[in-house]
Amino acid sequence: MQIKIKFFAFYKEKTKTKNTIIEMQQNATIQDLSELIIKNYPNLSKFKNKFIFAVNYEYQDYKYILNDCDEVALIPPVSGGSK
Amino acid sequence: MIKITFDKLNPELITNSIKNPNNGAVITFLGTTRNYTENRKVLHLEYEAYAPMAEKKLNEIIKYIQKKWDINDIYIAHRLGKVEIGEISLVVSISSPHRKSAFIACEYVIDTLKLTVPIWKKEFFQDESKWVNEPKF
Repeated sequence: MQIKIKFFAFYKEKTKTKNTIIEMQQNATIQDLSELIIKNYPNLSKFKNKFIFAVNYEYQDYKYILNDCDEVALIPPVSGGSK
Repeated sequence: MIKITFDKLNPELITNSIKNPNNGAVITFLGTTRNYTENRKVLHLEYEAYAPMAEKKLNEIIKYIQKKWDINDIYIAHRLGKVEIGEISLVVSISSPHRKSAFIACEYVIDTLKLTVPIWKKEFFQDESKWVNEPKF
């Protein structure tokens, strides 16, 4: 199955990637995806287990089972609005 | 109403759009960009959003406050892209029959927005630029 991945802010700069598609096995989880992302982008390895993921615009944990065509975003710590 | 935009925000237009005769109170909060952070001079800022998710999360916040407090109308606007120092990056405008619930709801919106809504800020200094909240190791 194919998973759409979106990178933002410093993740986008470090991977030099805004959008990509990753091929995964059926029933793959966010945990599996997290490991694959670090394999594909080794300079993100220091963020391992610190990634926050959203699937189809909703925050999900590492046990979440992905579906074909899911849109997954790596969400950097939020800093919008104002202090 | 939600607006995530690269255009300059106009708080007067936003405030007028939610005024109506049922309300005794309209509160408009403006978030403006600061020229110093941790004693370093900031030249300008840039905001980036995951827009469809940001809209979804803002809608959830709006639904929540309308249910919890006595709120008639609400307008949240967030600026994106390059924002000069002193400009408005955020407008939250809330109308209610009574001022107390409008104040409480307004603060709730801003606090929650900063935790759950995927919008990021980059500060540009003389010699470098940095994403706010980028983890340090």
